[in-house]
Amino acid sequence: MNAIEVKNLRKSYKGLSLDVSFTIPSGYACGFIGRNGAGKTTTLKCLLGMTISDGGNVKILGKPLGDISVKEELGVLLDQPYYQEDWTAVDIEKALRPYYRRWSGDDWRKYLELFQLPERKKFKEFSRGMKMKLGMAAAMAHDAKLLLLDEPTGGLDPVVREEILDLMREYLLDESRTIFFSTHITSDLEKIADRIIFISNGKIVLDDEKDTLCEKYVLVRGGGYDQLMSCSLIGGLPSDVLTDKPTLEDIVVYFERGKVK
Amino acid sequence: MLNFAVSLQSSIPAYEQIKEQIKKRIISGELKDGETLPSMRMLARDLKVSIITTTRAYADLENEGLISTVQGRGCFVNALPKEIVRKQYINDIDASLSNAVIKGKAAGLSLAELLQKLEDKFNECD
Repeated sequence: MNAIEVKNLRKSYKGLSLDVSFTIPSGYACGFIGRNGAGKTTTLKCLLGMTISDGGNVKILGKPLGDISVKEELGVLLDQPYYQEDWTAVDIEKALRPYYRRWSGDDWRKYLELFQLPERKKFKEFSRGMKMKLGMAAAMAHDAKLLLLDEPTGGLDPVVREEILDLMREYLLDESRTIFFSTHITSDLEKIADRIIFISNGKIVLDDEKDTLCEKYVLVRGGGYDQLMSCSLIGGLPSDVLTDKPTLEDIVVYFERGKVK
Repeated sequence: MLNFAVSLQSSIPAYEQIKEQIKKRIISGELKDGETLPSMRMLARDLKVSIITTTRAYADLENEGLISTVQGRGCFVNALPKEIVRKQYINDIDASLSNAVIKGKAAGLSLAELLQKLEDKFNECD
């Protein structure tokens, strides 16, 4: 089953002309990468119906956009969660619980303890890392089937980032769950993503399994070369050029610079 | 249970590293016949690699007849896999030896000299 199906989703917005099609199979973590302004957040917002698209077809967990029953299955973190400033974790649970049939108070408390989140501290006194962890805990406590995360590890220190990744790994132990997350931190993708979707200027330029992507291309430098090459093309290269396995970072940079053959 | 780590910096792909580590444990007897392996998802979490990576490693091990996956019950070490792994190692040895002989001849080494090298290597490793 596919967690997300997007066909010709279009949106013209602030000089961006978005037109994307992609499919995300359920059970995996899919990273969404691209430069600032490439259309990542706009795509995510269109998926959620927070931005009205100009056209196209979107299915989330097999249901069309706007199907109210889907909302319960979603865990969404755009930038960071927003709750009443004066609420504590206890208040937040009280506010969220009625909206979700599968809410588990035991899970909620388990995750608060696991992430060392205080029950009695006010939300406004939480650090960004704590807010993100609280948002993840909420998504997991209502047993969301799909997490849509916009830069979940952005602006966080390496230790908290790793904690968030650990949470994502924990979440994916259940194979009916899927994560679609945007990020600029390619090392996070190396660590967790199964698939990568790369958007540039409103269009999808790469959409593949991560391992396949890194095996498909070779970084060729020296002897007048400085580009990514498809593995099938490197046969006739002079012997003095250097060939390396590209990192995801290399792939993004060389694609954006148009240095790909 | 599977007490190993995977390097993302290595030139050897992560799934290959996982395969080799599990193979090594099967041949050493650390993983016994019929023993349950961690699920692909648990292994991915523990090794901090993607699920597709562990899935690929397990699929390869299954194709090589070393493990089997039973839907809903998990992955198990197959009966008598030691023989299979051993056979593979012997194949690897044959290939490495052919390579050594070719290069030895090219370098003008005698059989005695090659054997001496083999003996030295043998004594170097535990």
